[in-house]
Amino acid sequence: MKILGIETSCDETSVALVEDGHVVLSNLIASQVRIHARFGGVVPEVASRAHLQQLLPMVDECLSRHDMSLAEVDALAVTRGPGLVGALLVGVETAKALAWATRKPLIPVHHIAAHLYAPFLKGDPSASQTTMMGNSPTDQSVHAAHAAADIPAPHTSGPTPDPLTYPYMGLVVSGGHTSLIHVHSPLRHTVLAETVDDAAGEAFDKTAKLLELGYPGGPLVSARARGGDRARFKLPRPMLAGSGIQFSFSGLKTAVGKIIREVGLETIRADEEMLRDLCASFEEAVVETLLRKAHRALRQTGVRQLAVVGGVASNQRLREAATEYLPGHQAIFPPPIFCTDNAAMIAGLAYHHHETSADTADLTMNARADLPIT
Amino acid sequence: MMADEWLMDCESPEATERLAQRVARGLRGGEVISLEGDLGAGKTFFTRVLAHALGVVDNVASPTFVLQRIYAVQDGPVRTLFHYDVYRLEHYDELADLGFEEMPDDAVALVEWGGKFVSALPAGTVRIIFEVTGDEERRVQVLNAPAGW
Repeated sequence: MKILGIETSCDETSVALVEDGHVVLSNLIASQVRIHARFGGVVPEVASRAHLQQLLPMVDECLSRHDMSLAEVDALAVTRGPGLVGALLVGVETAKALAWATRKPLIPVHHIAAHLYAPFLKGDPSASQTTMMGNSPTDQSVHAAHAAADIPAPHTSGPTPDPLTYPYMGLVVSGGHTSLIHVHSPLRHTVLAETVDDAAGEAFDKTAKLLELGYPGGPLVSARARGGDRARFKLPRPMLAGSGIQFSFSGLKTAVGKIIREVGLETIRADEEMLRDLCASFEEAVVETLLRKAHRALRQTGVRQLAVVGGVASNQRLREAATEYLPGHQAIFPPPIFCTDNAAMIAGLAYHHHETSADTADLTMNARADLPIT
Repeated sequence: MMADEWLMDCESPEATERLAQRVARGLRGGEVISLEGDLGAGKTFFTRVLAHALGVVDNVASPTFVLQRIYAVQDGPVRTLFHYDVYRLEHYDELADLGFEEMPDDAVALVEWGGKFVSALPAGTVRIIFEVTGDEERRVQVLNAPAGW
């Protein structure tokens, strides 16, 4: 069974063709990161327009790679939410139109549930392709971000983990989400913890902004942090005291702001070693907090495996540190191409919706910016 | 009603909390408050305290990524709290697209970084501007405060 997936929840337009829920035949991603870099964040109106421009040509490209027509696809899947409403609408309305025209089933998919499913995707790496939209940046910082993003992140060090099996713990880390989710089956989830303020990726973005490193913050801070002294600056490990598993990252940004006020931004930026150590100390505070809370959730539920998913799961230090902070447990990271927002995970999870129930939608289905996970 | 302008030094987060609670007590519905100041100045912190003082039970998280969060208020004259972050919006129209102009009369809107659209926001918009004067100290300027506050 071949499902065509569409994902437009934020700043990546993606179309994928996935067979039987696992085999990724094509996974095309058009990233708008260069377009948004000059604004220092995703601009919703700009994102929606770019999705609109990219989406239908990408559907054509995806099908023509396999000499297929839409008529040969078994079903259409689309991200219904959560995300930016204008961006989601482009995907949802396009998918509805295609479903209506071809009389194919339309399967709405939850974006976070799909991220949690990403570890199960397989397929030739060449089936995935990322295109950078926008002009070649002249800004050095954006170059650095892409150079950092292009370095293949290693899988966890140590012994190869067993294949992921249900039930498992999901740590979802991205620009908009930081949560621990107990995954019982592909379509059944219990949210155990979320961030009470900023998301982990947001903490990276805001710290990069404070240090005037540019956007996107994650890869830029990580690139600077490489080889730095992770213990030089004492930064808070928010809410690590006690036994709670909720996250809070707002105080970390405040702590970095305090160091900048004391030392002076110019002084920090002029001293390469200090900047590197500050970035490394910040990154370690985020990584340690994420993994210690995840470890706590694993112990509290008696679950053995942790799947780390979402954009921040590409972070190299997070991958390295997972064995260190999760004694007695296994951490599984999807390849970076499946950590970023992508349609393969949408088409993959849609297969289970299609198999287990008649989870198809009619044409009155709407995008929902705050769609809850079930 | 005459509008007031205040300037105060909050020497601690507790002082900022008291200010947020005082503002919450003065809200009757229909108010728009623009929250301004640098990253880490306390805009979201202020919103969280104000929301809980109003009677919001849910956790108040950062609106940065999603642009808009909506909270139900348990009781009192204000029934809904809208929390926006317009840092990444280019035009006021994008705020209007989020439903900003269709807010019911018994709702209150807090708009982080609202200063960038100040000429497009309603005439009665109250501006609260936070200046970082120390690790925990903030100088807070309130412009266009209703006389009742």
